[in-house]
Amino acid sequence: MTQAPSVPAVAARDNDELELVLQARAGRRASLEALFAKYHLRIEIFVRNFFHARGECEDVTQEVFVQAYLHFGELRDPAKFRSWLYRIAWRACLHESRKRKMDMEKLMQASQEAALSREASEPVSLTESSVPELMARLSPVDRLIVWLRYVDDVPYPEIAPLLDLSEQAVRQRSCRALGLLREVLS
Amino acid sequence: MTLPRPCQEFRAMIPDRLSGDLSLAQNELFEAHQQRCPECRSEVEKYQKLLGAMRSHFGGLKPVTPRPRLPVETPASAESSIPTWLAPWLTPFRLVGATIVVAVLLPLFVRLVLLPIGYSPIPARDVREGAAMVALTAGTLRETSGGATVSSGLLVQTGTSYLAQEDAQIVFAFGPAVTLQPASRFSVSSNAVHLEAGVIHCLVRGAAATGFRVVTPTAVLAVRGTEFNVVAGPDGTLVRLLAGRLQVDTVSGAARADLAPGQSVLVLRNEPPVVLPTVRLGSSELDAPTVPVDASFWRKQGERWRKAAEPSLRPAMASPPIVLPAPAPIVKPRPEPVEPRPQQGSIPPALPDLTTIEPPAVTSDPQPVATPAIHVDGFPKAP
Repeated sequence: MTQAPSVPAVAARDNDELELVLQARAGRRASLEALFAKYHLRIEIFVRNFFHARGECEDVTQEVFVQAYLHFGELRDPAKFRSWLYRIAWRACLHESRKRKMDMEKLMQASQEAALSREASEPVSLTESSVPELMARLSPVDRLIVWLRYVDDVPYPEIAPLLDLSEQAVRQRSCRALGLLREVLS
Repeated sequence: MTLPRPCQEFRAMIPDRLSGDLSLAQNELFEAHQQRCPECRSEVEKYQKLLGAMRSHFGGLKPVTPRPRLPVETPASAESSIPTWLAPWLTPFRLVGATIVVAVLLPLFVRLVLLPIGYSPIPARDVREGAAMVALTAGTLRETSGGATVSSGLLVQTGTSYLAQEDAQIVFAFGPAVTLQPASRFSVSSNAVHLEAGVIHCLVRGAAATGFRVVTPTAVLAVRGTEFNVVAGPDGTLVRLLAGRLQVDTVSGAARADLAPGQSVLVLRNEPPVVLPTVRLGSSELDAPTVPVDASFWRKQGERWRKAAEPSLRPAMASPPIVLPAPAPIVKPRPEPVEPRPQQGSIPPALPDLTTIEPPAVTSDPQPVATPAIHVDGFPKAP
């Protein structure tokens, strides 16, 4: 049975991270570098989920860490480093999409069942390598939500303010999006 | 196909069950139904496979972007050697910001605060070392002795000899602003710039500024609210007055000349000042000298200027300086009225034809007035 990680494990992870954040705030550069290294891949996936095109992500990923470095002194609650960093990533993605004149309505909307049903004629077989193809059927924000909740294990109360959505809306979209993915498979 | 209602409700709960977001009561319902219904059990397994595939896919990814690195560490911000409260200030970005703030605010402070509260100029001649408030507002200076540098935004020490590394500007608290060309060598006192060699432009405004002086190896320039350019070296000084009034003494004090706007004066070592009309010094005659100007420059150029200005009359020491008036149509009238001043040493009646020694090349120039007498790159042009 897949369950949320046990409480002690979560606490241990948080404690390590908190320790690093506190050291970095005290001016220890190695700690800040360790924090960045820890979130490097996750930020990259975050950005990649949003744009779903690998080529566009490198600049945005770099920008996220540059901003994080420049504004690290403004992080108020050391325990919320992850939310803070993801928020920077979210803003960087929005900024980039505006720069590219992408359709914000389309980016923000929930994945449509109709959009999926067109593709449903060719069901995807489930392998590790078909995951990108599967995720491509979701809207950018739903891709982010699914990844954040089911893969990165970020709780809904943390995701909601990150994406400027209500907790209820995030939860609905997340369940629905996962259900759509499941339908594509059958 | 329509599922029975319990199965529909069960399946709607699967995602939340998998992320651990079901309440206790929902969990009990879920488990009860899962026990009873094999179809729903296999549905849960499909979801689990889906999540398993997603997790292993994302877990197996490698970053494609370079690893984020912090900017190069400076010794000052090395860890543990700095107090916590200081750490944020030592990041390079803030240092740059602080420098800019200082560079902008210090001159403003000097001009807007010190001047209005009555920071009065120290009387001329009364040179008290250390009393000056002179800020470097642009460029970099290097001490000629020690090699220490003063960068923009800091105060210039009185009595220290500096070399301008690049175009530099110093501002005295009581107003005068002096722009120095690269390689100009100088020091400052409370109310004067001592120019050993180099090319400078001075802008001195306001009543408080009349005590300001420029001292060169051969001349002392006393200011009466003035804008002027100076080229100085060990053996000579050339001053071109752009606006206002200027009194030029030899260092010995033996001879003096008063300049009107547009006029230039040449002061060679051990000789009285020679006032030159503007038109004499076209840009062709005075090419921008390389600084520091050496003795040969002064010998060569000084001789040429003097010959052109005054071919027959070589004034003896302590005699009044020769003033050659510029031809009337060529001298541009100044917007500000120039006070009439005593014309000591104006054209002697014996030399009525001095104005005719104009070189033909200059008179044939279609726009001789437009060419500033001292044509030095980077200098503000005469208004």
